[in-house]
Amino acid sequence: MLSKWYEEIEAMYDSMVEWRRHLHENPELSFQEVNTSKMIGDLLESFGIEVRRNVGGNGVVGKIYGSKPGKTIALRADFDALPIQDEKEVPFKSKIDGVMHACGHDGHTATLLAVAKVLNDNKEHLAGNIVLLHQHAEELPPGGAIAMIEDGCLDGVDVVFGAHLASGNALGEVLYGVGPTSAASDTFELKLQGKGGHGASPHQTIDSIAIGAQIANQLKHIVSRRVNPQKPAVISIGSFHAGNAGNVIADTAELTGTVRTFDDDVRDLIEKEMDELISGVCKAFHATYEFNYTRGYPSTVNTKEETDILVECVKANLPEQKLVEIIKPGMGGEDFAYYLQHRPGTFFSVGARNEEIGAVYPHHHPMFTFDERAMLDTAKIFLSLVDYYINPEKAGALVESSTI
Amino acid sequence: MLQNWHEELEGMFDQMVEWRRHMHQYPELSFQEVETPKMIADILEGFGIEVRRNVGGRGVVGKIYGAKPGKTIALRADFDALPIQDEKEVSYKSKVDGVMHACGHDGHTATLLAVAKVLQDNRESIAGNVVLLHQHAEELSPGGAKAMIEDDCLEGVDVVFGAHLSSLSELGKYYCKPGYSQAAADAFEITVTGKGGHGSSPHETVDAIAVGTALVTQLQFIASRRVDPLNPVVLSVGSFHSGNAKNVIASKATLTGTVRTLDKDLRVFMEEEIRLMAEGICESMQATCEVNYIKGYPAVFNHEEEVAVFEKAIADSLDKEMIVRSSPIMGAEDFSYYLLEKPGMFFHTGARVEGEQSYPHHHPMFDFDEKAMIYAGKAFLSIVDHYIAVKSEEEVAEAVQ
Repeated sequence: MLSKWYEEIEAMYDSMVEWRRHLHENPELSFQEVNTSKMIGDLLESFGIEVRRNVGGNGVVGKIYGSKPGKTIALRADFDALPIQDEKEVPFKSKIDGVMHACGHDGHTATLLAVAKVLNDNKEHLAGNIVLLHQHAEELPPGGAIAMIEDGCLDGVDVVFGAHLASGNALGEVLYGVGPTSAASDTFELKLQGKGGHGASPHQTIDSIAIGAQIANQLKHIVSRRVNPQKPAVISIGSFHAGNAGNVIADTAELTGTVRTFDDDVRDLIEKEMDELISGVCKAFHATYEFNYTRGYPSTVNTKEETDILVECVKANLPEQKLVEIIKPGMGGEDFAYYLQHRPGTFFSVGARNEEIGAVYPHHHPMFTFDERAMLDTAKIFLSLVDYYINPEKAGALVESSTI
Repeated sequence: MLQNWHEELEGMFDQMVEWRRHMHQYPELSFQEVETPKMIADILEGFGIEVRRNVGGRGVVGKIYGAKPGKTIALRADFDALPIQDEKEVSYKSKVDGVMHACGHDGHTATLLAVAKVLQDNRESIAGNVVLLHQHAEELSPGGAKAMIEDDCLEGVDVVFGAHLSSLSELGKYYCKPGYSQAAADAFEITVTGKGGHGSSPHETVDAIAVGTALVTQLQFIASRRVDPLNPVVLSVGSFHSGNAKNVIASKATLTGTVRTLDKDLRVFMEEEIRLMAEGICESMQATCEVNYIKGYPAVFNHEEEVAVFEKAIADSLDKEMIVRSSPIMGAEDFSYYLLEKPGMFFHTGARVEGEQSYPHHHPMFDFDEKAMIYAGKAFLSIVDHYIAVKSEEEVAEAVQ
């Protein structure tokens, strides 16, 4: 059965490429996706799939009902683009100035559309249901996932899987990991209000640069002295701007930065400690402040059982794929994390690097591209997972073999 | 006779106000003065005074020859304005957007023009000469004084005097002190170079903001721990710029600031210590740095003898109660260059508007009591009188005895 699905998906490769390139030429920014959502909804409906549009905003949810009852598997693909100028010279270069699919979400979408077509064509053989999570706005916190979940996209879902193309890994590699694989990514903005004046008369002023420097220095104390050394944490100040002239003491200073954590307790602690430290330093130096701490995506935490199932499926059905375990979690954020806060599942990456076609640039780079064959690899992994859960013929056997 | 000079000056008050208000409405920035020097030179020539234009750039030097030989006294007034928006609501508000006479140089100029007229009219009773130093660009380093000196504005000059109006000080008082009275103002720019990277991977970077802020904090160690507490010093970081994004660790941080010192050895020490601190901090944190230390105006050093002359001239001709011995101020003044060449002194004249809110110099609401121009002008005339006025025969006989 799975081999037949693989033949069908291979036959759809040209369509996947065509869809991907159409999306690539017509990218839409996070929360501004109109035509992309419409295209996805229309295609799914044309396959005969039940579609709910405008889920949590611009999200699209499709549902494929198997002929027999069983588990419900959710597969997710995001579809938003980035505010980056496409600098590649290819026929399918972005037609929108300053907007680009520079992270591969066009590929994710094309992949899931093809998977949807194959599964819908074979729904007679499915014992269970498939939920297709076409998600908007992954790139811009608060992101689309949280709103789609609030709008019920996970209702009835048992497990959830998601994949990301990775230009940093060779075609044929599958990256998986148990537990936290990406950090919670928060941002902060601090505006200090001192009292400006002449550089020659410091005693008549409240020097916002001197105070900002104290705070920047003291924030290191939180990571080195307040956080459990076994638990990773990063506080980085990314910008510090104050003053216009060398001989004038600056009235205000503006600092911005990012906080990365894996553990919710550490995340809460850092937010609280930062607020207290800033308040204390400002009090000591007679300044006032405005501190905004914005929570970004939480840490992506893959559940063990579902990750093991992914590994077994790849080993059993796609032996040519090279499995690579993620030992050190990445510090980048991904809002797939929210689905995993509600359902078991795993998020994996699929290698898409190919030096021959220049698919070597990092994600979010103006020259970013990927080897489109990685879409096929991703699709086959999705199909093998569905096959595992809701193909009544094979599921039992695999479970037995995986428990040996 | 000095009495007559003072009366003649008082008679010119309306004219001084008119000149001052004209300049106030048409301020010109340092090194960009065109109409102001032309107006000054034309007025001086109108009085029949010998004028040299474009001295050291945009300066104007007038020379009044007394009827008899004697000492040459230089009097200085600066005439540039500042890049500040005039926010006063007065009839003579600046007509140039973003440019303003916010330091009183318009008043200095009007004062010296009136003094020039009085002295030129009385040159028959002068044994010596008066050099009028109308200086451009006091507000912007390297300043006009240095270039004017290089262009020989002090040639033949024996002593040099200058005055500044002071919007926060009492009208009718003169403020002076022997020795250092205004600080040397130096500037520094420090560029810290680290290694940029992603905000989530600090260990792969050298965080220029972290190094820069450590440096800002440690620089205060110099002022608070390395310098004799009796020796005044200021080190201020005026700007700190680094980074463009929250989640990216910046590779460069740029700091600029100012250093104010009175003592010339301390000035040298501060430069050395700043370099040492920047290099040491950067080395300890694996960053590198470039320190650019820019020497600005030196400290104003008033010569003791000329301060005594000033105080005596005021006491004799006006009232010794008008003299206030002041503390040094940390603001700089390029009059210091004249005092490195010739004996002399620089004094401040109170110009506070009574009964109204007064604003500091360089403030968008800055203004002063125009009567202060009379006080400054009288002081100049008293000084000239002291040195080179032809005395009556009895006075001469008295002096000889």
